[in-house]
Amino acid sequence: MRFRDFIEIAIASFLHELENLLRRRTELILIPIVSMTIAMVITPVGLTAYGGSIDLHRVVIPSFIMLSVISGSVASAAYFVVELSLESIDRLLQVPWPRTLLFCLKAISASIAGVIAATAILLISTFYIGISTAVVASTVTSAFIASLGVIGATLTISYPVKNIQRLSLAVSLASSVLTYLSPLYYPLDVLPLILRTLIMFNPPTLAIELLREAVLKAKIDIEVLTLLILINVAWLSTGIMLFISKISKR
Amino acid sequence: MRIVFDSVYKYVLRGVKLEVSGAGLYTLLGPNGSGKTTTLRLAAGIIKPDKGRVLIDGCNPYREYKVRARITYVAVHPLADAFETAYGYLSFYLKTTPSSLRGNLSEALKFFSLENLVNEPLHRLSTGQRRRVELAKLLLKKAPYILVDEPTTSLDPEARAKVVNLLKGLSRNALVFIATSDLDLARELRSNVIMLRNGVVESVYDYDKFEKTLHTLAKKYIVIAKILWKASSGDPKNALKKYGQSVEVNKAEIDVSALLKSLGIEVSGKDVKVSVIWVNRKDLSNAMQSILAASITPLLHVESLPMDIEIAVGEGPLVPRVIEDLMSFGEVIDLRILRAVG
Repeated sequence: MRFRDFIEIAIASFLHELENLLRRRTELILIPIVSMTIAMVITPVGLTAYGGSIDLHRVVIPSFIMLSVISGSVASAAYFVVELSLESIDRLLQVPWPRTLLFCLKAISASIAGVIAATAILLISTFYIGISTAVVASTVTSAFIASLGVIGATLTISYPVKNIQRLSLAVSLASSVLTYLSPLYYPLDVLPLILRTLIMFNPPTLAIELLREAVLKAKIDIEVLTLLILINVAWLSTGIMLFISKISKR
Repeated sequence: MRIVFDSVYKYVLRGVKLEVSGAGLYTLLGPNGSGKTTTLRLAAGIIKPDKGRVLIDGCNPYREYKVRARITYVAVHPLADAFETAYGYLSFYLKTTPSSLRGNLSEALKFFSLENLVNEPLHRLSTGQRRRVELAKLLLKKAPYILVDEPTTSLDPEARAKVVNLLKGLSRNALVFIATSDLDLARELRSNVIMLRNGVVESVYDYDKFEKTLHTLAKKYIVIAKILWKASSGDPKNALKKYGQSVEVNKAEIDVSALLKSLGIEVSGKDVKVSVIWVNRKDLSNAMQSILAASITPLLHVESLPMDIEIAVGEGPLVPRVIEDLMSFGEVIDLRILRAVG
């Protein structure tokens, strides 16, 4: 097998996953987009009518963008897991490519779902707040990296689940847990050190911090970005290794 | 070309030892649950042995992706989501095949008469059509190792003959492993035979030796009769009851679209089938009998429809008597007899 074959198989596998996602699993992308769009239309109307003191531009809309990163990353994990019926795994295992890399490639293409969902919500948010390069870049980056991390976390947490087809249960649980564990409505540094450290390991936490900085200060915090990448790559690597170990025990 | 199983344990396999080298055709013959599919999946590198080693050309196919590039594994059905199209499934397989081994998609589709079905989702295809989609992989990768699970199951006689010839042709340059419980297929292929029983390789025969021992072997086999049958009166179970455990009904299916048509409902679709459950009303409670009478009476029309029946007959000489009995209860439209490992 030549190097050219190696590259061609990688491209074919990636494009196949992407095509699957966009043509056959569109609902996974549309669900977070539709629900967040409804929230973005209704909530500001209600809050404005209520006349409360909640700052729409600095708190509510940025929170929606952040929430869309979480919903998008859960959609990515859902795609990754839903596609793993037993027969699809057998097909993937036949592909002449290193398995760890193959599942990473699958995770990367699944993460596109998260990026699309978050970017769509970001576009809608331009009706309420201004948009900057920092916001666009941090939304795309954080949605992509958080999606990889959520896929990894889902695979790690669901390691004891013996039936691969039941992994989707882990995704539905992850959706609410990730939201409650994320510093959506307050910055991370207001929390006590122990809680802060613990929450930092939640895959979307630093993605949200990165976004907050970008929306409020129009800048990308490199330190947060580096930590975000490190933590989420660690989740993804752990998840993929455990998943491969699980399928080898089938 | 060399495949080695060195004391392999997995699922039902209990220390399989096997070594085969050079191009040729080998049939893994054994009853259901003897580990034929497991053996093929181990050789394809899809599953990992619990104990022991599987080596293809001296390499572990589960770990080494370069070896997997040289293996074609044909499962019983396409290994894909039911909503994927035949084209999507096969083109992915072709694109993930190294360029030096790549075959031609349109030739494969033509050979298996799939040209008009490529854009159909797999769930809309009949069992035989799905089988042909999976078998098309044989022509998409010119692999030196070919592993095929039940190659002729669900195929019509014409497609069956084509597949048999194709496998014979491919075995000139490749090591072809076939898993089946159909004794006559091994004979038709004139292949070497590996007998699997109780999780171990019981014996390995070259074709000549296999043919010589066929008479003795045949005694260990059951006869499967596949019958297209149209009932005229009564319940065919009554006709078969007297044979006790010697005759077992494996399958009884009717064409559901024909059934609905007989009830005045037109449906479109391909080979939609439904299993028939025989219920003896006398065994049911009065309440259940009245529910049945109220709800499923129209289904009694089923007696006028042709039905696919598969029966397993333990003793070969019983077969003509069983068929004769079925003929007295209805019309036998089509009949196919095969021998399978019991």
